[in-house]
Amino acid sequence: MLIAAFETTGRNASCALIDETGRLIVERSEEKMNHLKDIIVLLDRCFKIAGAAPGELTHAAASVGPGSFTGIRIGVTTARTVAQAAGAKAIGISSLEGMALEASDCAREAGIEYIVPLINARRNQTYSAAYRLTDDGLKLVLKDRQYMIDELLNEVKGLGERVLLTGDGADSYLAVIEETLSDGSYELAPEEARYPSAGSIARLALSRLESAGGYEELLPDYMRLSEAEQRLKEGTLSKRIRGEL
Amino acid sequence: MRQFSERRISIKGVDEMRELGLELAAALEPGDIIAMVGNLGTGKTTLSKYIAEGLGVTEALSSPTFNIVKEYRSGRLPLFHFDVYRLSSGDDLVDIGAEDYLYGDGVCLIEWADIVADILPEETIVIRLEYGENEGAREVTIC
Amino acid sequence: MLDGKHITLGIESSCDETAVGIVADGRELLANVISSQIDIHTKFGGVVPEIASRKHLENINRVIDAALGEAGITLDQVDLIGVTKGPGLVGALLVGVAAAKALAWTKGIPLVGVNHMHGHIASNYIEHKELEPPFMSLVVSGGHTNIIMVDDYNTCRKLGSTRDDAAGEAFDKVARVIGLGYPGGPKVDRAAKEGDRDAIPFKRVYLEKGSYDFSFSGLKTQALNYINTERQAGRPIDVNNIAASFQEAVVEVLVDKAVAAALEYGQKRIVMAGGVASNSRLRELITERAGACGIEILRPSPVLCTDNGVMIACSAYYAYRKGETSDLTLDADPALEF
Repeated sequence: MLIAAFETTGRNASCALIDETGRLIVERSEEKMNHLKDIIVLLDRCFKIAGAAPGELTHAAASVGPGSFTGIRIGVTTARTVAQAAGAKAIGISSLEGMALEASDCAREAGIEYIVPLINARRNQTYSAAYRLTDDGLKLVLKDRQYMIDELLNEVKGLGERVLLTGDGADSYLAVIEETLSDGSYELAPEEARYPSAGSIARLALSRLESAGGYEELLPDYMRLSEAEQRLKEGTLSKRIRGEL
Repeated sequence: MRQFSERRISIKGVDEMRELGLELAAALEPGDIIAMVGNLGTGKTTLSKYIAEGLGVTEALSSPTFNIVKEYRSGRLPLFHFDVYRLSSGDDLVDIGAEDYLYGDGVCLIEWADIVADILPEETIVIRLEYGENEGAREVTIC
Repeated sequence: MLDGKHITLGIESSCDETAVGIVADGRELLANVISSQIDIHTKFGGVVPEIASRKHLENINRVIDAALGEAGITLDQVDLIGVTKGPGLVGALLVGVAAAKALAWTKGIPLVGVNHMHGHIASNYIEHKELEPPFMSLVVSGGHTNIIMVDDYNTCRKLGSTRDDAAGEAFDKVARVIGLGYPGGPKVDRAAKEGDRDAIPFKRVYLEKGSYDFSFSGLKTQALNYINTERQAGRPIDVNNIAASFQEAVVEVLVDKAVAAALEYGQKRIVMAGGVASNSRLRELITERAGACGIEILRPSPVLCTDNGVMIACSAYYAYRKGETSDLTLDADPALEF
């Protein structure tokens, strides 16, 4: 068994290869927002390190989002098509869950059980969730969806537990996080574990092979609410556009 | 990001439109988004060309109606010229991955921005163009 | 390989369509699958392109499968992958390029990134098996209006292009204002047949002497001003006359410049390409004026005029023969020039 995993939802693309023993190879791009250029190069490197041939691939996994729309599409299209060409199965993994796994070693070391990944969704919004670290792996304790940052932080406070924050959203919203959450109730994951990585996607894929399906079934999960569904505070822009200021 | 206070300008012809474009370009900063609003033929693309010129873009700017967005990287700031005429709402614009441009380090010029106003940030600069009294004249409002 | 012939699979997803074509030895059409034409959701009795990029991702793999099925081959028999790398909409291009790279890597076969404009020109190699460069070319579509001197396969010089609106786009916008709907080109073409092309003397814009560039935004403005004036004066608009007169103003300029270019460069053939090449008045007038100068007009069948994967496969084949392949770092280039 050989699983290739693609993570292109964040700033740096990465690719990973994992086999049934859990032996993991991860290759990450040094360039930001260069996903399309890098992704197959990274895949090829993983295979060369493993000494494997493309035809040996049994599963292709992709981080399906949320995150950058174009990034998601690059990873999902690549995984689908590699699966199609290799006659392999496909598995979709949430980028948020991948980030939580990526930060879980740090959480354990810090004695923290709850991990909250945040992805910057602009305009005071974030894609987020909360996971609890158990012996059986990560358990979702706060629904993964798009939140207003205030809303998310209130939910986090409501958990009443120390949390480990991770993701580019934690960077972008640091000021409001510091204001809202009390000192000592949270920590920020160290930089090397704070961003999406294909290694976690590969490990999650290995742990849920029963969810694998045909490449046709692998689809993005943008998780973005339509404008109608969002309840953003109205600013002056619409009035300025209509000339009604 | 620079905030323009409301300004009304009566443009008599292309030369004055060009002056305006060059002036606007000089004040632009990375991350600026300009929403251009006005009917067919009011000069959105014309003004966009002059702004591009002001930024030092060497390539000729042509209408991005078909491709939705065209990139120009030869000026002092990357310029992303959008025409969302063919879209039906802001969700369509997000769907094509435009947020990478809107929140990047370049300047975004968006023609027919009223169609996608729902997803644009509050700091967006608005330029409204209307026909003036005489042929070639335009009324421009910047806010 | 199939029966000793080299097989190329071409992917096109630069704008509205997700399309895959398969050719044998570069010119023999084995499969031509275009997503919008197998989509059951076309509500309007015509091709309504789907703007949303998410459709490309949902379509690409089944379109690949459908093309393989149509050609009666498997991926193992494909020798070369071609894909449009630009110009176009980045969100659309990237789906095609990502898929093409994945296919090429997995199967260990070469990859060629193709310029969409070269693709349009190459659609003529499929249609006209004996056609070989050099020749003059007029490429007119929704997004492009170019006069191109084709010196060799995938080797061209752009002699002129639009400085503002593309011809197809001008058709779309005027069509919308006179209430003909989208896509405007075919509808204007149809309405024009019932109208008088001399009814409204729209000014033709030729730009400076000797230029092969185009400018249609002024004509678009003229048409809009005319319609506004008539409406404000309460006079009824004759849609057919406007369509016919507007179309004539566009077509005349296209034809005059294309023929002038062919004469200047000593070319006996003008090869047309792009969606607007299907316009009946354009075909009629260019055949007449070129014919009067002893110049032959060639064009693809309507189905190959609009975006398709076959033209990409063909263009890729000829690039490959010249040793021009792309490596695994191939990127989409939305602003790709000649």
